[in-house]
Amino acid sequence: MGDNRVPRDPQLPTHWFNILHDRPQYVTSAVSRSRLAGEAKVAGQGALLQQPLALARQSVNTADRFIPIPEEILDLYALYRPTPLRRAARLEERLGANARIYYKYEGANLTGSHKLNTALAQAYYYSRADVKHLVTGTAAGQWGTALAYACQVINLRCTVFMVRSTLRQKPIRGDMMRLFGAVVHESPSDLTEVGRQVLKDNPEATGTQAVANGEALELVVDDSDARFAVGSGENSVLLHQTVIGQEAISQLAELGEFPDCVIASMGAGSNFGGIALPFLGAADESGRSLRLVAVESAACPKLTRGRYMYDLSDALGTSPVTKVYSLGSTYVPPPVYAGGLRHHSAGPLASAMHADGTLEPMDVDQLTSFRAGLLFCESEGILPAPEAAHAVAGMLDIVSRHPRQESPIVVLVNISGHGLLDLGAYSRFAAGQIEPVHADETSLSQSLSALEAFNQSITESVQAT
Amino acid sequence: MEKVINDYISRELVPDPALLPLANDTLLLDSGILDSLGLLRIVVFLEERFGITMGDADLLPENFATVNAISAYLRTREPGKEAAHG
Repeated sequence: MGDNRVPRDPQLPTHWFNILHDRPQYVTSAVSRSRLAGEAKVAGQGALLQQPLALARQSVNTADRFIPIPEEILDLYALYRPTPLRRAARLEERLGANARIYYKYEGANLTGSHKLNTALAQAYYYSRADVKHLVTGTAAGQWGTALAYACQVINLRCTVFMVRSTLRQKPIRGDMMRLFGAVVHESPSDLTEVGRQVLKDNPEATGTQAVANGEALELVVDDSDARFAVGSGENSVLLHQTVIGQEAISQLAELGEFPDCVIASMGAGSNFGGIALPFLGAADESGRSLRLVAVESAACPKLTRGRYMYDLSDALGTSPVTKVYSLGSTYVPPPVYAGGLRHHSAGPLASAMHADGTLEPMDVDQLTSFRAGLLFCESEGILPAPEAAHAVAGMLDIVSRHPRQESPIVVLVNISGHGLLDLGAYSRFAAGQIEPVHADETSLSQSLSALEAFNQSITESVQAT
Repeated sequence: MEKVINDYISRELVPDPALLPLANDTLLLDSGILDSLGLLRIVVFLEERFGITMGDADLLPENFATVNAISAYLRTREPGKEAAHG
């Protein structure tokens, strides 16, 4: 019998790029610290780490600039990578832009987004650690879909808690996950103490990523075969996503280009980190100047209005505490179609990049993002997911501000997923039914106060240690 | 062995000088001296210092409860021997 493996394209990276080698100062600020959680429970029946050691090591590794991708994962990446990088020439023409606009398209795999890059890697590592069942929370459903598929491929059970507002907006997301064998629950649910408490306080609660994560974490506490898998934020997750940026560097180099500006949407930071970190490493190495722009939802402006403090990533309070730009884990963003941007905090690595000025934040409201997404679709024939449409809107803003008398600006935007399951939302936009949603000021004020009180209690507990 | 481990934890992981000197029977997990980041750091230190490779099965609370417990665990390991799921 011959070799029946999928041929690998030479541009498929064989290693993940590890920014912690170049910037080890990010490790201490960008790693979860269970001690500060106080009452944090030990996950997985006595194991000290929730994650397999192989994954945890990746989050603190400062020794290796490149980390080899296991062969089994490369075989799976080869099914859909490298992903396309194209110049948006029609969009440039339509804008009359003094710019060369490139985009990287991550929506052309079965699950429809970049999330598959880490879902496959995590399923592999958990499987190697003899875990049988992965449980997660998902907001827009892209992560849940990717993990469900990865679990099916690697033969793990999968349970997904999906935020109620987005599951009701896009029930077909739930259908996709079930097709891949996952058990899908609407969050908040009555299956967990966290969910029951939220429903008791507000039976009509729309749900948040923090609550969904809390429900998932509660489910794994008493199940030795199960672990909580996270779709964004963790250093290891961003590491897995660096295949995006590495490919883009290689693809742009073939065109003789290096961007002045790299733009991606910001949920907790995985698609941003995936495209930005390899370019950051390349810019640091070559001395080139580079802007890295993270575009967040105006309904959940964690970078532009959040505090850089210790916070939880779930509503149960069992997750480790990390120092992040956060609106507080009790903040309930108003429902927006970009569910992937509704997480209350940026991840620790993206937060550290913002704290030292490496990352440039921008917030975009929902109406502006849909306008940008449809414009992109009309010009380029790709309908961006609502999250990616925020990145497009940010890109349009940057291009429009670039002085005409200067050399054209070269921009690269990450289209992290397709919007084909968001046609209902785009239809409402076309019908004039989409509003520019901004932060819920009442919830934000209460949540920030709670966040500050939480940090005060941490300070006191550390001082008392 | 105990002194090497105690020196590393005292130097790198103890968050508050008031906790020093560190006794070899001080509860590292319960006292909060060893958090998840600290655990990863000491795993890397022990691997490099004692020539072992640790895996998921080694990360049990009883192996990291105290300096004495870490030392006892290390004495069960042969240098260079890889653990399962490493």
